[in-house]
Amino acid sequence: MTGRHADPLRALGLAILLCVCILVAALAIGAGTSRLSLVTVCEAIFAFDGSRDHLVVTMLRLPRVLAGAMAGAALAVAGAGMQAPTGNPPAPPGLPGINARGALPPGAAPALPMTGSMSDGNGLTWYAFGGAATAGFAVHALGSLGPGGPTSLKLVLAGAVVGTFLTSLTAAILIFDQATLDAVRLWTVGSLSGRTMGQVMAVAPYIATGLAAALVLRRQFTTLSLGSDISGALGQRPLLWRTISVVIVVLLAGSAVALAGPVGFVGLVIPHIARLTVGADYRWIVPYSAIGGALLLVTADVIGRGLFANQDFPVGVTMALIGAPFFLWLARYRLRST
Amino acid sequence: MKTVLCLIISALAMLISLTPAAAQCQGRVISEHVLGAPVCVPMAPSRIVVLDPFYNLGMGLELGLQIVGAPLMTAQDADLRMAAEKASVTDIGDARQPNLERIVALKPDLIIGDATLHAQVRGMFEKITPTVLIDVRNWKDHLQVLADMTGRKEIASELLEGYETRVAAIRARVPHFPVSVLRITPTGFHVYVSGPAAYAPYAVLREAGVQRTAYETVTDDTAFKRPGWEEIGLLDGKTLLYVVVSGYDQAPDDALEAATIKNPFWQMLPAVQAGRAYRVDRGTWMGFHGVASAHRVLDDVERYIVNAP
Amino acid sequence: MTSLHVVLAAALLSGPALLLASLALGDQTVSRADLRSLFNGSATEQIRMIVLDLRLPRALMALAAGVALGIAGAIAQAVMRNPLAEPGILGINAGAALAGGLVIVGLKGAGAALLPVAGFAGATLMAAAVFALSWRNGTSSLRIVLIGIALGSLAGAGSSFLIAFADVADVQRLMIWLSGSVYAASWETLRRLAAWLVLPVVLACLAVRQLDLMRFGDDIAASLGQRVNLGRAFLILLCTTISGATVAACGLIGFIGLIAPHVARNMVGEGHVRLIPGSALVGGLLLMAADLVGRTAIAPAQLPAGIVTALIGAPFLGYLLWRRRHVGQ
Repeated sequence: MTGRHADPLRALGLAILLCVCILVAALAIGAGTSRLSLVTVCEAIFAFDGSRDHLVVTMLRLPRVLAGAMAGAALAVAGAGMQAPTGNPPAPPGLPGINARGALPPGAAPALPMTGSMSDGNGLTWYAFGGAATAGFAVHALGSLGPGGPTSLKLVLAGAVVGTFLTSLTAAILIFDQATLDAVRLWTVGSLSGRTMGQVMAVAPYIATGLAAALVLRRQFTTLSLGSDISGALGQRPLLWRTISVVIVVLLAGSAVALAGPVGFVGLVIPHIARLTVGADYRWIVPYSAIGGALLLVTADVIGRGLFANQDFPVGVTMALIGAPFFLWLARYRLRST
Repeated sequence: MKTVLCLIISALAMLISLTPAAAQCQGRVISEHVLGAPVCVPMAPSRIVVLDPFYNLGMGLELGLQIVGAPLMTAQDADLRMAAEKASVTDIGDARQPNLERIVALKPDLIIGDATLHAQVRGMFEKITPTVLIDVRNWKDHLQVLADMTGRKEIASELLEGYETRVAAIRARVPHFPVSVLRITPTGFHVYVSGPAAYAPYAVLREAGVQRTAYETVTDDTAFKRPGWEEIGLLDGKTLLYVVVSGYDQAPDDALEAATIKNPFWQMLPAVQAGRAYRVDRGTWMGFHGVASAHRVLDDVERYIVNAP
Repeated sequence: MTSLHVVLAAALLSGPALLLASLALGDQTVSRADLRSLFNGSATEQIRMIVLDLRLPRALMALAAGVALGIAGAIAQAVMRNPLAEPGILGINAGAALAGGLVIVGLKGAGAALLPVAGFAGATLMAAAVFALSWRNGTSSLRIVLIGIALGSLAGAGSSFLIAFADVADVQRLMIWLSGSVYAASWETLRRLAAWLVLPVVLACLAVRQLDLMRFGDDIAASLGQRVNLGRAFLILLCTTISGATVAACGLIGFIGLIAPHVARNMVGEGHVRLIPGSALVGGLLLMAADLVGRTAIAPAQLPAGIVTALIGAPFLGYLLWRRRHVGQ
């Protein structure tokens, strides 16, 4: 699909994708220990009557699916945004750096004096976000050192370095505290279990802002992705826009980690597929990534829940199982060598 | 370059050719339920170091063993730690990597540990003094192995007899309806099941004749399950006992409990609706360390199940 | 270059000094008199056990592991042509972690003896997989790095799964092993490590020319007569063997392989003739110091050396890279 004539086609594709996403989300809400029909799901959302099934939908399943959709969209758009200033893939924010960072603050939080509000998970969310933001900036700073600025390779390696550091810090704290280890370890692999509406609502404004900013600034991303020479010639101030894109990426990635823990590969797989389908124009890549990311994460979570009925299979592991082979394929067949 | 190469090679070669020392033993031979059996231990050990602050420390103190060192740093139960400190037990650090130098300085004549925790580093301890790593699942077997090893058979029999008598008495009075037991943590529920590999307090519960719901009963080696809010509906026992464990620190437990019981799914539990949901002490139910702990579990059984309205 | 000689002398002297400090410092006080008594045979049983059976093998193990990791790191950075590379990038650490995790969780107590073997096997298999998958009409540094990260993530997901669902006691043992520690150093394990390391280290020393050529890029190296892909394969094999043996002996210790070559480069320059021994020396000293800190800082508890190296390592690396930010690659 190329050229202006393809625009209506792309718009149609986007609409179809959106409908599929909503349908899958509704089915995901219906799936679980007790299977609920689509009718029940709709009734629960629009004509709530306090029965157990409706409570299950509104208190347990809806927040979980919403969290998955939001985190997925945020991660995918963050991934797309990260690929812009570095010229080209693969440089997903889902890799070590930013994600491992999310893991430290919950480990550190119980070590610090805990307040009552922490126990319902909301405080955990903000620690995660703060940690992810710090890590994101650290990774970017480290990866930008040296000539050539932040190339994808340097960012990836910087991410690995920062990630290892923070994982060790987490381990240092968790090693001595068995109870905290027990509480935190499910979260550290990236999981949507137990997400409440409160947590979802707390993070929603930030994800919404990030997504809106990314949508509004789509054209700038396209220009940025052409490389600093061309974008400079087109009148764009590279440092300014690179900073803005980093801020948006960190906002989105950090919020996603706050919501779902460190889930990887979404930011790599989705923008890539989007690029393959609609070309290099960020006007389309951003919206396609957002919806595609939401769809992917919700689906991965449902697969996990379906395979392991009584245990909560963490969505982070499912995503790694899907994403790593894709990443392998990318690195092996689609890489332009440096 | 060549000189450096030679230096590195000769250093490595020297390291290779160094020979370690060996050790002898005499006394009682332990050949069952320990790792690396047979192991020789002294007939009357008078300076014992234990490597974990659970069964070995708790039961050791109950049997009146002369314990000089234990990893008190990671002891979960405050009472146990106080008892240990009163008995002048030196802290040797963390249960998984106890401080070897402190152990050496304590001049022990016997080291007792746990097979699952310490198998990897058994060699280190054996260099210091004879080391026994007990390898049994059942808490009563553990007590007996410990007693056999240190010549305290009579005390152990006495303690267990007292326990068995009490359990039999309670078993006769326990009502025949299912009871559910649940642990609340910040990230979800843990249900310790009733089965062959049950954790000690829950094994005691079973011996006391307390029935658990179908969800909480298994025949395989599962030790615990993690139900979500949807699944706790399966914990439909007539009485519910719950432990609240928010972390290492006990302070936030109350807030966690308050947040949990507000939840409509909790309020739909039959035991909660009938007003028969009781919170029990985490020290007893999560930090089992000996016959005294078993008696505390039985106290809870009497208070909340047998004698409850 | 007298400043170079001064720096080298300082480095070489700090070796014995650190060793002496490792023997003298620790949870139990060992005074100078005690140390002297060791030499004239009048030491108590306790002192002899503490110094000769606990502290000395531990310090030497840290030295040997540090030397190995320093060399492996220098090789990794040359092969991948990037100063942020380290042996772990090849997925070695992740593979070892997964294999070790499977053994600890699957075999419980019986698995203790198998742990070194599993770690080594996991590391080697992972490195082989990375190399095999990045072979496509030859290899490229970038592809190796990215595939290493992908496979590493896969192995990491596996380990995470184990950590999330295994018994908490098992998980804690796994985490201790994963953080890399020389706690269980003894003369036997030390001998075994030394035996494993002799050949690879010698080969690494002999391969300095190959390493130097790799720096110039595939085309130039080929034109200068190097069989690029074979050379890369061989060097990766070397790096893996050295790292794998270290993982088998001490668990996962990170950052030494990353920092030691950098520090060495600052001292002796880029030529691998000097860089390999320099890295070895720096790595050994760093790990000895890290272990000393780890076991004395929060006594009686021990902080595994791998964690100390990570905590100090990352900021230190940031500082090093910041200083070199204007230097071309």
